[in-house]
Amino acid sequence: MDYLNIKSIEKKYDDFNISVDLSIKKGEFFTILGPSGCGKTTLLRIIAGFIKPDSGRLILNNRDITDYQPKDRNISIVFQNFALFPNKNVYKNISFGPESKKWRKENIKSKVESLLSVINMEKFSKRKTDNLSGGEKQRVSLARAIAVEPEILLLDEPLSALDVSLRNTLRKEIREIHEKSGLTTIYVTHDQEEAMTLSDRICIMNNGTVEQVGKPEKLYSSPDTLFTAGFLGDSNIMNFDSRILYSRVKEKTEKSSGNIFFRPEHCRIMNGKDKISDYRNVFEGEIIKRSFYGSYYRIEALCGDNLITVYDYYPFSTEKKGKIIFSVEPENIILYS
Amino acid sequence: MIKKPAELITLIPFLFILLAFYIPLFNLFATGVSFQDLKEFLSKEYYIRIFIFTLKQAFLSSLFSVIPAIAGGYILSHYSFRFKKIIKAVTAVPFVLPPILVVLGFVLLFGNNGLLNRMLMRLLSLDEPPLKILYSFRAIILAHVFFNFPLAVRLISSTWEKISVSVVEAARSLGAGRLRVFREAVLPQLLPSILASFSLIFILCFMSFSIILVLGGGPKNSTVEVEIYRLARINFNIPGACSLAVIQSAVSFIFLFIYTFFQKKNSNIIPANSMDCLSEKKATKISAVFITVFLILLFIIIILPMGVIIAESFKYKVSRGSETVFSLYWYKKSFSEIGFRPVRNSLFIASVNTLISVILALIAASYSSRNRSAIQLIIEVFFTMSLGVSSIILSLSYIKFMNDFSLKPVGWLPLVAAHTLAFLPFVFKSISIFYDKMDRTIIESAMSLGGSGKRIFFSIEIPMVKNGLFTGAVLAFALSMGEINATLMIAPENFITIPIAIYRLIGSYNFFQACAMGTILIVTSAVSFLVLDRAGTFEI
Repeated sequence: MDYLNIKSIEKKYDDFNISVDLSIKKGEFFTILGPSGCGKTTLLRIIAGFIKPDSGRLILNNRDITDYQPKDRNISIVFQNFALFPNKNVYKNISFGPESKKWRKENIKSKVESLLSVINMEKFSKRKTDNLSGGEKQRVSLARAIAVEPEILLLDEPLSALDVSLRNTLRKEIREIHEKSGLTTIYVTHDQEEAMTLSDRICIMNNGTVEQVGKPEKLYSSPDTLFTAGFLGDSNIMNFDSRILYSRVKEKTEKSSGNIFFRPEHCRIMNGKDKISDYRNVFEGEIIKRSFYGSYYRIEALCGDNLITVYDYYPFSTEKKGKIIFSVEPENIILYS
Repeated sequence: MIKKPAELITLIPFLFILLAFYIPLFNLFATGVSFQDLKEFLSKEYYIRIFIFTLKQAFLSSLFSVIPAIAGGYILSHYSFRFKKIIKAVTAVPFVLPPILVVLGFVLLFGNNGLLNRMLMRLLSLDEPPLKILYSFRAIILAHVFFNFPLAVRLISSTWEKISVSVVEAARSLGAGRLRVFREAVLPQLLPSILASFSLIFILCFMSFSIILVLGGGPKNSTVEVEIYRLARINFNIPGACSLAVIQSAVSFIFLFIYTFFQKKNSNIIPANSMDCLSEKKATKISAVFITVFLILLFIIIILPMGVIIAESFKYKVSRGSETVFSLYWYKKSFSEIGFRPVRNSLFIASVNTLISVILALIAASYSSRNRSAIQLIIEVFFTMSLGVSSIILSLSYIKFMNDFSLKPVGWLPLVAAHTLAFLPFVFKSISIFYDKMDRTIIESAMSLGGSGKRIFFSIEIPMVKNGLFTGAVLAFALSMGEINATLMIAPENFITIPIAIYRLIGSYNFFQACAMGTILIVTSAVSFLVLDRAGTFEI
């Protein structure tokens, strides 16, 4: 059942418009993914109530909250820069929400203490927030946001101010907290890896509109649009070639123009023993760059006018320079008109 | 957008400024002067001379303050030496120093019977004082330079510190000579701060009052500001005063605009990071000489006159020819003759002004921070316009307004309004700097956690801007304690403040008593200054 319904929400700016229809299920970890400036943070701020949309409705749990003030929405938000109250200690930061909502004192105390234990910061409760590390700050910010038991938790790029190893740790913690609390979570990020590892469903946004919504695996393996195909993961997009006889989407094969798409990991590099005629969809290119990534080489090659990426897995079969011949199975190719 | 009756509070500061500034001023400009008046007034040679004199003294004062300040700014930003921190702090002193104290310090230092002349007469065995500085054009320029040189040093050195050293090093490594590096890499970044200092000092000197009134020595060295005062208070020629007010305001607004322009450019200079800033050098022998000269100069300029005032206030000779002894005589005499009234009045006005300014500025800054940048700019302009209008003109507008609408003077109320308006821009700026730095997402977090407007304001906003409130309060208090212009114009009969008492005592050549009063003022200024310096949040 739809929990949050974003119905024809529109917001016009001088140089940018947002137009979105979305529905999010209860208890879902939903990620809005897109490049900078695609409107994902604006959409999040509309949901939080900081921006008033020009038209459309926001329905949360059968309640129309479009005209509600942020404080009355019961939606919490965690920001990239933590946004902790600098004049309050850790405990007071977390208790701010419950106090604002006039909870009973003993309930506030037990709530804050249990959250401090969830984030492993029991000993920090009297600490000023200035004296915390980035990771600790974000944990407090997260605890503060869930302390009010919100109906929806919004996370606006919460990990992008942290270094890589901390990001991985906190990513796991966020998912764990989500699973334990069962909170409906909307997560905004431009980091695909974050989106794919964390989310139940992802919404790809581009230029103020939704490109595609779906499970991470589905978005990766069968993107609906060229934008999704190009945005998510390493991808190859080239002009339609008559050599493509079979593809997963059969009806598209009859078309004679458009683009084909395939992933670098689906390219089978051929060596001298392979007979080209045994394979369909064979490509030939000139290697222009070869970079080592540990378990594979990432090859960039020119096929005609197209720059193509191919992964060469162990045992490696490419040289630094020279020709590369590879094939792609028809079921791994998608055609776009 | 104002949605609730409780939010009507946000209107109070705007209403206050509208009523106490824009309406009287509009009344003054719209009904006080006709084009004919203006034409007639401007054709009088006397006033043309005064106008040209005002421009000339402001230009020369700014020039002589800024040129040595470039050297001072260089030393302060490039070298590390003992007492540097104190020296840097001391450059802010003139900002809270009442001009009347500068006047008094000058009389004591450079007067015919002043410290310098006495020393020279003894040293060279002369019968006549060799230096005749006071009551002349030179005295005005000297006092203005005294007052503004430290300000320029402060502004220029703080920009120079920020200039990215890697740009300089890159230019050097590309083979540019020192002069070319300065001309092409340093000067373009430094120039806005030099020009901003120049235009700020120009405005201050253009509207300077007590220095001209006392040290100028009469009509031959009079300025527009002093002339407005004379016309309004001594000749009761209000239309004449209004004509001059229009001319002065036009010029000061132009320079206020120029200042704002360069200051904006200046504030755009942001160092890449702290590592990229100038590393301070230890002084070499030649530069040590320069630094010493600079330090002595700054000492003479800022500390010595104040020291002389304090020293003189404790000197007493029982009879002519007898030994000078340390005594509280002048303090006792002052308090028995004038009483505690000046101190009480000054403290009262300053306290009321501080309270009102801080509350109004806080409400306005908080409201401004919740708006889009275009509206923020309008609010800022609305609040800082009063910087371009001198308190003499503001007071004149009150006098005229009360005359026009046959309002009875209501005690010290107009005086409080004038004080508040004169210093509100500084208080507003002190607080809004903190609002500008405040991360909006903190407030948004509080909102999404269910915090009410009132709770967020009192438990999040105020604690976050408290240093700004504090700085603003101390500034308002210190500036109000030293204010003399509006007080001379519109204070009720017999309402004597410390600066007025000093002014009158200087006028009657009663310097020792003036020093006793001056010392009290120095103490309040010094305390304010130390508090500001401690807080470390004071920006000009």
